[in-house]
Amino acid sequence: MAEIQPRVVASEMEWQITATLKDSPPSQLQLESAPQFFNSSLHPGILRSGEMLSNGARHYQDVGSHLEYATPEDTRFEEGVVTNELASELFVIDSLARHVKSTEKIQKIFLSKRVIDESNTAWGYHMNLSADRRSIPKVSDEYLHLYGLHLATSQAMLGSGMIQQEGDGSARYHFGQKISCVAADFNTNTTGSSIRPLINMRDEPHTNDETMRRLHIISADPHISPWATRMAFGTSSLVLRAIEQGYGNDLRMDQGAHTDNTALSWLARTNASDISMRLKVDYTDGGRYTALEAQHKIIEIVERADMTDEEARVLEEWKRAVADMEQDLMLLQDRSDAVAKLALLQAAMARYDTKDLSHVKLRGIDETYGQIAIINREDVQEINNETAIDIHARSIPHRLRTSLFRHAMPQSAAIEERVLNPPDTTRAVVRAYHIRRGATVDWKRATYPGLRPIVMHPLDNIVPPAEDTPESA
Amino acid sequence: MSQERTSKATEHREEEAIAEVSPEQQRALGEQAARSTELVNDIDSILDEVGEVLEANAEEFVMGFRQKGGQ
Repeated sequence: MAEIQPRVVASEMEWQITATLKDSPPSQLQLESAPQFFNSSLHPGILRSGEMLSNGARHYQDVGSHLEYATPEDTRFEEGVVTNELASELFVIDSLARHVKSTEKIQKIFLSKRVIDESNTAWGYHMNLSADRRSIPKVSDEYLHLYGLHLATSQAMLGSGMIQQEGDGSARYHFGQKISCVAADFNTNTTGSSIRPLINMRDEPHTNDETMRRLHIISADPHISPWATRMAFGTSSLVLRAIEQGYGNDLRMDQGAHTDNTALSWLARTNASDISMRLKVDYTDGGRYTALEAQHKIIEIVERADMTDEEARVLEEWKRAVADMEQDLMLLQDRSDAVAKLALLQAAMARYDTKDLSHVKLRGIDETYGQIAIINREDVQEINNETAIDIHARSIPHRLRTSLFRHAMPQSAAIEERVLNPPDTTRAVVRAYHIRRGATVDWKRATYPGLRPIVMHPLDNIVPPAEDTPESA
Repeated sequence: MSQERTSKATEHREEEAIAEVSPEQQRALGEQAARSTELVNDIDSILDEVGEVLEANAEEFVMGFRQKGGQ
């Protein structure tokens, strides 16, 4: 049995940023010069080494000109990736506020945490989790079928919801955003010009440890609900524990008539669009299960595995969520983004006396739900440590997090601390230290001029003493 | 006549069922009702705020927020 290694978790967010310019209609933010943007928008409390920041994160411009922010590595869920993501929101708001101040053309910026627009163009939110390479030698259906099943049957709990315009002119609600773009189970593709997979086969572990691999999931949605972020990473980690400890083949969907490498992605897309949750599919144990019944079976398998204390608490929350959904899906409106958004839409349909999801007020709910910040030029006359907090406090996500989702929010002080400081459970804190001493860094190496690179293991969080470390001017 | 007898029997069973709800169950039901009211209030006030945001940014919401594709 594999020993219980801490699970390293982090996420990458391609932000949806729309700018209203003087004398121009609103459009995706275009940076005239990415380096100029990163220099002029940098918080005075942060140092950069290329794309790497002294708070442990990576901030850069990616494919499709999206500004992307990768959170620092962490081994915790609530105090880790959840808090790191919330801090990253404030960081990005702050950087965009500085950008608006430094340019004259921009009147307003809309910053959104969603991954699909109304024309069904999609971009990315990526979950990264470490896993044991010895028990998962390949990212394939042979080893990760159970994880694919979990991703395919958890959309009601872990999706972020969207109104999709269908081909026939009608509009329907889906539990998931990105999952509608997934057409294969496992492959190496990441962009929409090729077929996106449920689980990505990219093998860039960013480590020199041969026992570790990195799993890269591009089919997940980013969350407004901190509960959902915790559960996305926590349930993933639990399913991986079961796989790493030999229970991964205890539940398998019957491929049936599906061609190779398409059954799980078909199930994921279909479940995401089935609000009734009545779809049943065949499994190789002879059973026919709905998504919730499959979640039950996955939980039964996961319970056999050894897990950390934090994972055990996630498991209890998971069981409670599945039991609640079995009773009444809408009980999850205080936890799941997909269900909360649905509850808002249902209330709006009553308020505005409409059943049409293309109604402008309903589309407005879908759009504002993920708008972390609307930055107006008058907000940024003077920028201090409160600016990003104040701007975010006026947003609908903030409203959601102080009402429906308040039970799962980390303390504000913890979030604000993480905007400028790295977490201390992984090499993020060591990398940040080397940045402050003038080294050139990437995810795993710190290099001082004329010296061999210092290699940092993901779990090595011991900052070397100053007298043992070179310094670069 | 038999319909009347059946509905009286049903009423009697219902009264028994109500009488059987324990103080703990009544408390839980009360909490559930209070929580439901709280949720309804939360949803209503979020809808109010969405309306304000839409009004303050009407032009952008009409034009939409399209992006280029990415990963």
